[in-house]
Amino acid sequence: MLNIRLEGKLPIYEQLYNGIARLVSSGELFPDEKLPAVREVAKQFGINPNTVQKAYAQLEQAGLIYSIPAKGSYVSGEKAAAAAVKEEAFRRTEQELLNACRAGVSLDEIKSLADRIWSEGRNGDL
Amino acid sequence: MIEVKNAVMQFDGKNALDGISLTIPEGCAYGLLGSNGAGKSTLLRALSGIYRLYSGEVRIDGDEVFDNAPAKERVFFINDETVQFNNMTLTEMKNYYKRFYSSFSEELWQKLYSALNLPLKKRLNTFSKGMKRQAAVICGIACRTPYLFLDEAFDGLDPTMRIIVKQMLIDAMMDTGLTVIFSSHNLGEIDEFCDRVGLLHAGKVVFDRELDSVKGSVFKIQTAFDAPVTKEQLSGGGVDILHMETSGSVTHIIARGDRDVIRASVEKHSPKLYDEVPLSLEEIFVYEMEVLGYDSSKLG
Repeated sequence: MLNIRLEGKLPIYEQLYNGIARLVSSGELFPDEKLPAVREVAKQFGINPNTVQKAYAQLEQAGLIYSIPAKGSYVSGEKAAAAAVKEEAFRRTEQELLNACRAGVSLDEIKSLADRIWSEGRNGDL
Repeated sequence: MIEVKNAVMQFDGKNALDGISLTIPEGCAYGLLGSNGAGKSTLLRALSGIYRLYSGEVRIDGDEVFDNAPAKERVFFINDETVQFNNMTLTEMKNYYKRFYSSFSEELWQKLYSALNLPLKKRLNTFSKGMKRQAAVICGIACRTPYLFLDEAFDGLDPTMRIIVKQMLIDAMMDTGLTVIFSSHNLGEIDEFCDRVGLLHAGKVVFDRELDSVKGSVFKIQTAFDAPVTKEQLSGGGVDILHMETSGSVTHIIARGDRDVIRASVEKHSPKLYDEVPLSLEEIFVYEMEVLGYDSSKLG
C-alpha cells in the first residue's frame, strides 16, 4: 500500500507521480525497496492501470525508480534519488519564483529571503 | 478496436445519433459523457448490435455487429433493463449467459460471486436495483468478452460496491486487455478511471480525446488588469474565452486552449496578477455545455 492521498485537480498520473516522489524524498520509501505492482496500485485507488503505468514510466525517466523486467519497479539508489529530488526542487522553485516575480516581489527581497534561509539552514535552525 | 463511422439513428424521424464518428482503441477505458438524451445509450445499443443503424456503420474488430452472432459474442452490454430475467434466479441467469457466450468462465463467476452477497435461489424480481446491477456486472465480467459496455452501471451501486466492481474491471483489463466503455453522470468516477472521454450532445460528438489532454485544455485564471480588457481582446489564435467576469479589481477567466498561448494572450495586457488552476472534469463539462446552450443559469 502506498501512503498517498489522491485528490485535487491535477491529472491522476501527476498526483501519483508527486505522491511517490514525496515518499522517496522523505525517505518513507527506502532505496531498492520494491514498489507495489501496477495492478495493486490501480486497485488501491480504483484507477486505471494505464494511469499507474504512465506515472511509473515518468518516475523511471526522472531517475526516481528503476525497473527490472518481469520483477517490478524499485526505488533508485540514494545518489540517483537525491539528484532527482534536487532537480524536482529546483523546478518547483523556478515556478514559484516566476509567480513571485509576476506578483511584484522584487529581486532584492528574494535575495535577502534566500540569504536568510541559507544561513539558517547552515546553522541547523531549519 | 471499435470504429463508428457517420452513425445515424432515427426515432420518429428525429436523429438520436446525428452522424457520429469515433474510434476506441483496444484496452481503453472510455468514458461517455453527455446530458440526458444526448445519445449515449443509443450509441451503446448500436455498438452492441441491438439497433440497426439508419445509416453509417459500427464495427468491432473490423466486423459489423448488427445481425452478426460471432461479433456480438465479443461484446457484453450491461444496462438498466434486467426485466427479461425477472422470473429467473441468479443461477438461471448465469446459465442463460453461459449458453450464449462460449468464453464464459464458471470459475471466474464463482470467484466474483463469492465477493458479493447475493441470493442464488431467489427470483431476480425480488432483488433491489443495486442487487440487479451487481448480478448483471458479475455475469458480464464472467463472460470474458473483449468488450464490455456499462450504461450508467456505476450510478446505482454503493461506494463499497463501486470499488469492488472497479477492482474486478482492473483485473479483467490486466488479464485479458478488456476494452470498457462507461456512460455515467458521475464525472468523478470517469475522471478516476478512464483514459479517454467523449462528450455527446444532441446526437453529435463535441469532443473525443485523451482524458489528460481534456483536463489540461481548460483553465480557470485569476488576474487583474489596470485598464478594462474585453473577451474579444483575449480570444483568437487558438484561445477561446468560455467565461469572463470581473468583480472589483479581480477578473476571473475560463479559457480553452494551450496553456502557454492563453498566458501570452493575457500577458499582452500586462496583468498585475496571474494565477491559473486547471479545472475538474465536472467543471469542464458544465462550461462546455454552457457554450452549447445547455445552461444551468437559465433556471436562475
